Amino acid sequence: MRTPVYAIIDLNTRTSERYEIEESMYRKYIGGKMLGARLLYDLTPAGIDPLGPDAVVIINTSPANGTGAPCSSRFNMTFKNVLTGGIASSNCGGQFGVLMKRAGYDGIILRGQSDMPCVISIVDKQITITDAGELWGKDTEETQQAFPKIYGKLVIGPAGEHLVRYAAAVSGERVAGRCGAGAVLGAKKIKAIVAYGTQRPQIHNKKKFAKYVSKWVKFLRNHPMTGEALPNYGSAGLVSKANATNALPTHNFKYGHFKDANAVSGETLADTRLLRNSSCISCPIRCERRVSVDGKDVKGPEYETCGFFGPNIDCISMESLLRLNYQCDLLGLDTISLASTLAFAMELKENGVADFDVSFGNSENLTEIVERIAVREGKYSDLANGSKWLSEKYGGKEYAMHSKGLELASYEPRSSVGMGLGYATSNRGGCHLNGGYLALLESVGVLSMNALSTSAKPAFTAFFQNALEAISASGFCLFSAQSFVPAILFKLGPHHRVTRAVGKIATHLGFGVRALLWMLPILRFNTVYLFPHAETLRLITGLPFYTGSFVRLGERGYNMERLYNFREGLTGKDDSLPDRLTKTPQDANNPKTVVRLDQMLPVYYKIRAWDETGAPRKRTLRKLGIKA
Amino acid sequence: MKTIRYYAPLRGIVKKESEATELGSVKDVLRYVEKAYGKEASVCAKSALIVINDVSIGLSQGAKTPLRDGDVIGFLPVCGGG
Repeated sequence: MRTPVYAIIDLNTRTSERYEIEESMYRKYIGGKMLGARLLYDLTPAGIDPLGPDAVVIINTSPANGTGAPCSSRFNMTFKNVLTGGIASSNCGGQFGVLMKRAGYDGIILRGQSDMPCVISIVDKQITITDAGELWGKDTEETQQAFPKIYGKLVIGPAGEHLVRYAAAVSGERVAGRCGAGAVLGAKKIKAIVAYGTQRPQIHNKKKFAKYVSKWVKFLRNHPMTGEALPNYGSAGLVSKANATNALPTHNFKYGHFKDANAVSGETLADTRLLRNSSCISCPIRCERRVSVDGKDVKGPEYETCGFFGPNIDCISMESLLRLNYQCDLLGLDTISLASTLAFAMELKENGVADFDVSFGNSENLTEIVERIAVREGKYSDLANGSKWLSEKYGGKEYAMHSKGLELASYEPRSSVGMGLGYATSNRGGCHLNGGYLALLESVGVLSMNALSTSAKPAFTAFFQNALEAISASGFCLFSAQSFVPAILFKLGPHHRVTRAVGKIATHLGFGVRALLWMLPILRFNTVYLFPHAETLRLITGLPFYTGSFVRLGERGYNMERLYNFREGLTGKDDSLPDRLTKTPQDANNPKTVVRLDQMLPVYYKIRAWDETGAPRKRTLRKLGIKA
Repeated sequence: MKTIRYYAPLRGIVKKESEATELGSVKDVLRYVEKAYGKEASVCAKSALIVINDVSIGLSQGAKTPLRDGDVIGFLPVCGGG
């Protein structure tokens, strides 16, 4: 069996060495964020500074990358989270991962700190490190233009160079946005990593793989979600859906509905600004929006960006939103953490606590402010540290909208309480995807479980956290999993009695999902209707992946990440949300519109087989084959 | 006076973005869409996320939700992402 080959790159000595992953580790952790978490745990001692010389950054691929399977271009960055101090995995759809694999490496492990800004080049197994010269200081677009078009690139902008704690790394126009991926590269003085090669990935059963891929592509193209909704509106289509169910963060999460949300919705984007849609490599969904900013054809905004640079700061200018989105890509900034930090700063001003020259309803000066944040100019340097840091300095913790230090995504959890549990328990902090993304079943999808009931939410959250973990670690885009809701329900619509009945039943299916989690070892089947990723992974690797073992794989990854967090001092006490979400009802007339973490967390821990402090029990780790 | 607002793909069938109406409930509007634009439009309208003043009818009385003067009823395509 061919096991993944990594390169350990030492920035202190500018040398590299080959590092082959042991077969037993490969079988257990497969790749991407899961293998990354295991390696980070093993290769670093507890308590290191994520931006210090002892920090390790792992950039790796997964078995599916480069195989031509649908939605399989996602590569991963794992490192110590700059915002939370726990685990960080940041995922990106750019070309870099596929080309690094073609260059002969499944991953690279970056150690040490360069004394001068540098560029790492990986071409046909050869790794060279050279000075970045004049590239340092350039934006992500100019930096990438300095290399041949055919190269895969991963670069940082000025924000990463200035160690903005939510700086992003950029590949093409795709972004590894969250947790400070750009800052950890900036701390090592890496301006760019480029890769090129022609090596083809190995596929265990090529014939069956090709047949299955064509079946899966057909399924995705015919499904109303992946074949119509996402291509037509992209993720931005969620603005109006979230707004319709009071799940659209407005005025720094004070409300869940914005009366003028239509101005920045996916429908308005499609009607007024969309040039065409596009995609990552080997993706049949094509959710990417192409828009024009100052006459330039650029990647358009995702849902989170529309929500956060729109209703969450009370702004309705599509023009301003598109400009800010593009500016963030150029500077290398995570739009979620940046915009949420700005909303927090606006509320600080509203409450007379601090003034950073930003205020709700005014986006006119934001491009200038963002530019200053990116280079940590003057008082704006405080804003470069994120909302948790700001709230510790200035106060306002009850409305600093983060969990563990990572700013929440754009779903108001008081109208989607399972999403609230997901945010609180997510290993990387307030992330919807790492949190199980229950909003899709509660508020913004076709199905509607009772969004205010805590019933069944812990079980569904644990199940989907595991499933999404496995999908991500295998190298697939999570959008490819959105076809698991049966097409018939889309045809009937969210208001049809059958769809409503399914939602109601699901709200009471907690025991069923718990039973499913127990039965994983015997779920030895694969179907294109649930997790086609499992069958694809089985055909690529030759390893026995079935629906059950695939979800169990994700469970192992989730526990591994949790173990890392505990070692770094994040415990069950950090499975929390700001008071605004847990103590103040979104609707003053409806006391149910709060996130009852006190009710859900104990059940969730029990389902996870963690102890009452939220720590994985020894027998849980033993069952999953995790060595602490 | 109330307004019916159409979004893709329903807009492509009825060939208009919006129209004024005096109908009294969501149910009446759904009946009207079927009668005026045919079966295909009706299926499309029923599968949409129906909103009144940008709020889902699922949070009020469903198809029985009454329409008041000045209300805007919209048919949004169900979407996804993250």
